[in-house]
Amino acid sequence: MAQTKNSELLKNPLNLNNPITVQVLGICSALAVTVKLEPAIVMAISVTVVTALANLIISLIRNTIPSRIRIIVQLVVVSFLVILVDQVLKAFMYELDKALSVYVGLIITNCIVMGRLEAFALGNKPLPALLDGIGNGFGYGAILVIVAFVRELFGSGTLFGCQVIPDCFYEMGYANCGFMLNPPMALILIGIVIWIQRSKVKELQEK
Amino acid sequence: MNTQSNGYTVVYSAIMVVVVAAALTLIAVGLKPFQQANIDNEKRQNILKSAGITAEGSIEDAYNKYVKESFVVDLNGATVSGAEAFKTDLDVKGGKLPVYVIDKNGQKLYVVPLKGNGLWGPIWGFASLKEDFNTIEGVVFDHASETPGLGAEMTQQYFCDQFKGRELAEGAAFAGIKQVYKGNPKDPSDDQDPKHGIDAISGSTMTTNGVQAMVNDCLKAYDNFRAKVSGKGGVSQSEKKVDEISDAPQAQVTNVNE
Repeated sequence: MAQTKNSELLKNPLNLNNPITVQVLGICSALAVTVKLEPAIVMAISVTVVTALANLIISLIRNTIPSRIRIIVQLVVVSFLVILVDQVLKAFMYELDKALSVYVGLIITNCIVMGRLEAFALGNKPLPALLDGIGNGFGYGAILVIVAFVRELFGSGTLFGCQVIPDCFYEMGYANCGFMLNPPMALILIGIVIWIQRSKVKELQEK
Repeated sequence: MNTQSNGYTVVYSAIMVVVVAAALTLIAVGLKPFQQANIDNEKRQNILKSAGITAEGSIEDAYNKYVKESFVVDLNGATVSGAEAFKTDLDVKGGKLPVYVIDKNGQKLYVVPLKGNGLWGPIWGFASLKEDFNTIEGVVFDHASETPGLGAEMTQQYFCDQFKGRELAEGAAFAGIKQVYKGNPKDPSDDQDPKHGIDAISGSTMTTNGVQAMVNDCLKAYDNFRAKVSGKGGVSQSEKKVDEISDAPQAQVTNVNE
């Protein structure tokens, strides 16, 4: 794993090793913040910042961490970054922070972050670790944006809060699908994304 | 160096905690003014929203345009000198009652803050009252942790709209608002109590009780101010103890659903 090319560190999590669809990590927040595109994108950026910086910091200090308390050290670093993100959102994007509510705080427990720290940052140099963090953040974000796109389009008839389904559709009897706004639909959509991905990518198919 | 020894582990964690704590403190202190500005703006927006004004552009400009004066009154309805309404938290028992006077295109409105308890945590909001300080012009509510889909519905427009036109006083005495259980807010002819009734949220009895208690407790505290403004009613504080003000009809309801 140590010799993986840097470009693959960025690319793999988008497809072959996607944190949500392949590793099935971080599902809970993916269900909760994908009703609308805007919070989904802010959440994706927040998670990317946290995974990237946490990977970088842990990788920089990896040789000094006493192995008995390494999980605690990882948690402290992650919590520090999450509080940082939360405070910045509160100061500069107050409305979005309210929409994301507890889920920013819950990045601390997002399995993707801890998983990448344990699996990658502890055993790799800072640059690959940083790229791995960015890649996984994007991989997570890509799924979030796909799901949020479908849910907002069919659930509310809007994208980024602007109406995209014309009024004449509604006059002809089209109705928004209220079920799209409920968390179960996000789970079903993620299932469909996994299905499509596995049917296209041979490496992921089980025999 | 042996990174596995006990001494190293203890020193390592101690240094880590101090460094992280110091960094977080710096960040929190540095960002505080920005966060406070956001909170203040939300408050201004809610004050305007309760009066039915939607601010376009800068909220602060709109606030300065519409809010003509603001002051703090005590339980006797007398103005407390030297107190700034915007920075004063509503204190019903202590007699610190902020009042915002709004000029909405010639119509004079009073806006007062509300503070109470829902089922899981604090609830709050603002109520705007017409010139007689008796008829409700509009309300906004917010909550910290009510149940989504049930109690959290209290912030919805359809619920808040019911308060429009409801009256505080019956004759000269304070009556407040009262929940009705079989009402249909969508059918105006089914309005069972057009002066005081609001339709409770199904499945959220405890939250609706909290809203009712909050509105009645807070507005009752302003009763002497109302008497001054409208020229009738009011209770002298020597006759009525302050403690009784929070004696709201909270425990009468039997169909607890939540």
